[in-house]
Amino acid sequence: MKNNLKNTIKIFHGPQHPGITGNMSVELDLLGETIKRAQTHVGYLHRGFEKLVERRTVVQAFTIVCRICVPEPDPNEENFARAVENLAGLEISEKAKYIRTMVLEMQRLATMFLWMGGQAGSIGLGLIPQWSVCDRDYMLDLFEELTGGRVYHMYAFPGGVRRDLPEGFLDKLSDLLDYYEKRIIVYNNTFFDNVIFKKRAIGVGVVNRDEVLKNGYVGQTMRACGIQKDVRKDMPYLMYDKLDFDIPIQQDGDVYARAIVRRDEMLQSIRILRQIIKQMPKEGDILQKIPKHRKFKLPADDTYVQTESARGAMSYYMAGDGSEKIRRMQVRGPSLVHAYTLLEKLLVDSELADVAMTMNSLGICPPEIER
Amino acid sequence: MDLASKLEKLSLQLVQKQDYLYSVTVGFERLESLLLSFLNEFGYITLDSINCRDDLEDGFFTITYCLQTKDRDHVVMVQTKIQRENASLPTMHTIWPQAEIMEREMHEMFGVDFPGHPTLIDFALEYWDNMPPLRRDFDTLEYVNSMNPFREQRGDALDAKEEMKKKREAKKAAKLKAQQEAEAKAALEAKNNPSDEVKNEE
Amino acid sequence: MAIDVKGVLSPLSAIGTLFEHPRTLTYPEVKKDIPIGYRGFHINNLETCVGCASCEEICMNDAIDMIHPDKEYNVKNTSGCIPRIDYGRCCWCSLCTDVCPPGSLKLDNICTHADCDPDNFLYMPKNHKNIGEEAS
Ligand code: SF4
Ligand code: SF4
Repeated sequence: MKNNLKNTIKIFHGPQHPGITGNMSVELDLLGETIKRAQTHVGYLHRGFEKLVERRTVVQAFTIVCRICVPEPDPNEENFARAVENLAGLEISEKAKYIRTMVLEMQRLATMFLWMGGQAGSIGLGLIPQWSVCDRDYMLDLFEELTGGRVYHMYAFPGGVRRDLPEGFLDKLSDLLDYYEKRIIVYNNTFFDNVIFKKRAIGVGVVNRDEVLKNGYVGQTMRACGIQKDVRKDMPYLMYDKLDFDIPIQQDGDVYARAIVRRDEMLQSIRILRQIIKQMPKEGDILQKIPKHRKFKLPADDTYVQTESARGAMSYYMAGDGSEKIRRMQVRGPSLVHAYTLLEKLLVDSELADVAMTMNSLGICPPEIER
Repeated sequence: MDLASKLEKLSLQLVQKQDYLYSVTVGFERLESLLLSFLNEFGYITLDSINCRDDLEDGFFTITYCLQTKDRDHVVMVQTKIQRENASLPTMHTIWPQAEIMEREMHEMFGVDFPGHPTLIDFALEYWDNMPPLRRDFDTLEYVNSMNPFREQRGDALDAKEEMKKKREAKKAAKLKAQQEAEAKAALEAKNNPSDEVKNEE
Repeated sequence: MAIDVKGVLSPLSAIGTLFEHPRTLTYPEVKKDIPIGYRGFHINNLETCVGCASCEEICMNDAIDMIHPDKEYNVKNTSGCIPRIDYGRCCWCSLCTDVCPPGSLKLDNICTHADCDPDNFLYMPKNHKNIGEEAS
């Protein structure tokens, strides 16, 4: 190992690099174009959320959890809300459950469009990012109407959701889904079937199937290796056990397989949303007031909740101590293991030009590694 | 559940916390062997996360290992308590590679030592020389105030409670004054035409 | 190696989009509608604000200061103070508007403010007369 590093040069891929998925860097030892050693560094985005919630009451802490992950804040809100509900024994109404499921699926679609832009941009297909970010914006417009914010929604409150559906919202959503279905055909032609993408992606970044389960890889990384697991099916939360959907899988475990899994998941999300639009209850409470709103005391207990985000299972550990403050909240997103255990291994003996593509397809998001 | 009877043989108790969540508490000495039997005998092959909770008042850390089977349909939390002073845990990175990074983070954030861990280097905080920040006796507010000044322009902020009290007192004083004035006025009027008084008496 | 004919030709369908109507707006002339309920800048109905400082208490960013207004708007105001918000710290979470007992503090859908002087980010919520009545 030491000898291999003899004639190498060292470059830092990030934190200021268009191909990186955020504020992190990968330290690469290169022999020619080939990577001999890769090491991940984070620390450019540490905001100390886990410490901050210790100083706040439950209601106050709720507004910052969504900031843990920029591209998809809603799984964080859902996890936080569900952890508090578990600890306090709150039961939320059916309508609130449906709305929260809907928001999660809308968020999944929006995140997938953003991912598509990154994935295509990282191999030099400059057109796709322009389109997909535009398409994501239509979803953000709907979020704006529903929650009042485009990116950080602060919507799923412990006990339900904060606002009711605006008038005509479901029709707008249904129209948008029609549009998305048409767009996915366009993306199929221009991106997923594109010979450039195929040549670059097939056989690159192959994840070893045997270590997937043991090392705790989640999301598309796992499903592209032919393992059909999804938190929505295995430990159903909210309304997912009443909805009908499939878990798409692929067998090859490379970048291309992960892209195809993501595309199929987008179609599944559209399918789920259509069912939700049909089944959404007309009447019903949306928010069950948590007792003593401002002075709400969290019981002395702990819990662990998991939500399927667009990049894999995202888990929260939460413990209360009988006071108004949260004693400990730990965030375990999919990126931590992907960025260290997996990425450092995958990059060895691959090419420099493939780094950005591999990172993107693993769904690595630095804000959630260091919180 | 099958696992419960297996754990009973080891004289441990499995507690169901939520629908898909179980927990088992074990003494520190038996932690490593229990984790190994979870992996090898009970089929819990995934280590999902390791987390640490600072129970400052009682003087220990509560460590939680979250494990999943290959079906990933429930989570078991293996919990143990270790002393806060000179906290140290056995490293699991040889068994679960992902434990390496989780332990590195815990070392930085809580100051837990892992003898035999190969890369206990900085994780997110480079050149940090204060107390490990996620220990609960580390005061974030004090640290921030010592590092950054507060904006001076906001010095005119008032304490609303004080203002309320002031206003209430002012109101009371005004009321009292008005009352006194009214009384004085009445007395004066009474003096000026005593005939009124006579009328009233009648 | 066989040439992937479909993979070569199908991306060329992108040329068709040249003839589509553009999705962008010509910004200064055409502006996007901001929906009702957007969480923008604060407005406060000073006639109904009772100066209870609930908003100051719940704001976890310490963005709200209670200060004296230029004149008395509401005789029932218990402390004689109204909130002022530091937009250097606010995150537009709208917790303060949720807890406001008379519902006088609200978020408007106006959301543009640019200034090079940080002191001007101390924002007095605009006095809006009828919002308190609308809410009730
Ligand atoms: S704005 Fe509302 S919460 Fe704030 S002081 Fe006035 S009445 Fe109280
Ligand atoms: S919106 Fe949130 S951050 Fe802003 S002043 Fe209100 S409570 Fe504070």
